Amino acid sequence: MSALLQIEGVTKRFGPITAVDGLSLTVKQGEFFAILGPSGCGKTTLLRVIAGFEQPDEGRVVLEGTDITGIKANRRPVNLMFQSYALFPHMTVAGNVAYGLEMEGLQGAELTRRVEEALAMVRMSDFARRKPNQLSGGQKQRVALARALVKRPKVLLLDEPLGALDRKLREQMQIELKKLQQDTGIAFVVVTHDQEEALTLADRIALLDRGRIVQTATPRELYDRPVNRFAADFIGLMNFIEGASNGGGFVAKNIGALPAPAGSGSLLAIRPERVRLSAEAQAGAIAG
Amino acid sequence: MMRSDPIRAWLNTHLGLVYIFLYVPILVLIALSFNKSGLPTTWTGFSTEWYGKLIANPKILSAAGNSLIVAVVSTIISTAIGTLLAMGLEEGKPNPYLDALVAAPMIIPDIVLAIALLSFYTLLNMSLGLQSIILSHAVFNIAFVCTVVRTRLKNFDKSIVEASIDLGASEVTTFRRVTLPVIAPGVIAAALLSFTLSIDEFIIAYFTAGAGQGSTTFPMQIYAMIRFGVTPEINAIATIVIGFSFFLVILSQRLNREATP
Repeated sequence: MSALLQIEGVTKRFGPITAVDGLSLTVKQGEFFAILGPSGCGKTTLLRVIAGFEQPDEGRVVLEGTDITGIKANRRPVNLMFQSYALFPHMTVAGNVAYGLEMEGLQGAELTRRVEEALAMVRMSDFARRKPNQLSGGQKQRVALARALVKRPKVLLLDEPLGALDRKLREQMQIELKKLQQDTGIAFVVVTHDQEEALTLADRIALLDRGRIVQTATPRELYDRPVNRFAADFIGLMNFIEGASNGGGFVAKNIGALPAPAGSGSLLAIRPERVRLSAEAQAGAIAG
Repeated sequence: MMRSDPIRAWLNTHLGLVYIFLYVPILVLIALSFNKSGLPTTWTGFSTEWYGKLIANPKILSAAGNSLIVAVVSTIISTAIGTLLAMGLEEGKPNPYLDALVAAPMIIPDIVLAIALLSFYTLLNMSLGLQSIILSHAVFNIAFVCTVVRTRLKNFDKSIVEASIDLGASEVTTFRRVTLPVIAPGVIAAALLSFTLSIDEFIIAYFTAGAGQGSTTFPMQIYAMIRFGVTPEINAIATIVIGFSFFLVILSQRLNREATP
């Protein structure tokens, strides 16, 4: 898979605050990419830079080899699904979905066909005549998805797509999102603070902290091989044991020698599910 | 339950008395406008004679026409400028001084505004007439329009503007197809309010109308007539104005309420 979207050394400051700090990343063709991080880590700003709503102070945004940094949001082949869905309250569901196509100059039978197609894709055909305030949260989200996808963007950006839904609906929508992404083949870039969402949905995850990338990896890698304490702590549950490496092992404070891969760090992290208790002494076990 | 509560009963009595105080004089006036004899002292039977006389009076008709022109034109000007002003103010950083400056024309006594505007026009050597009344009415109406539209913009979800741009629309298209339709109830309510305020405004119009007879507005005409006593014709005029204003106020309030999400 080739590079579709490249962020090259993007910095965005708001007054004294640096929201995004010299950040670089690459999204591949047809990929489900998650930008994960705690609130205030700059992930939404990064998304808005990609969408074209914020101009970076430094760096470039490159789409399919073309620099789109200076191109306005309404001319970018990139669409954004807003966290609040941002449906037009005075238009019907069909009107909302048709809007973006009308801006492309599409009309008549072709317009109707594309709108119907998009509504069918998110199973909202029966609601075409409804107004947004007559829809449930999950239905609104489907319409917002259809409205963005009907434009056939190169990249679909999703800002906390499941944040406003209740737990049960969230799980169902996760599956639908993944399926939609696979069916359309459009690259999805999801911004989320929910690690579970990122781990289940994404092909790759960029973990952000204070405007910088901590680690870009597959969910598996990020879980098993976090690069530092922040990454290890942010994803899943983790025990941290302080001490020092001694060549082939690790000497923990107050515990003593522990089996560990060779390294030179002073911190040992272990997932709780990797610890087992046994009645008898075994190879690699610690008595205690 | 409600009726047995003595406090509730007192409050209801109070409310009733306030309404009587406010509306009995107006009801008397309306009744007198249909009084055949035309005298405020005795009721001699129902008649629409005074309304007929009204329609036959060219001075009143021309004044009513002037008022209509002033109200319509100043409403159009103030609705356009006031709406844009409201959008600009809501967009920018909250600034209490700027807010106070915008709201000031609503609070400044009419007489002060009237004198200020007259001096200003004189300074500019502007000829006085309907055009100066229109401008003057636009001055205070902009403040009212701006205030009404801003309350609507307060609960306006700005992300729909970005969504429109994201979907490929220009700023102008976004304003025409998204922003304006969504805030329309507020804008219409504001326009109705400014129309109502303009059509019965007297002091400012009186000061800025100039000497010509051609720029006499409806309230000015009533004032001229009333110097010779309250005639039944004036009662009839007043009744029409009251009915019209009432209709507009109710319409404006309903529009504003219906659209509240």
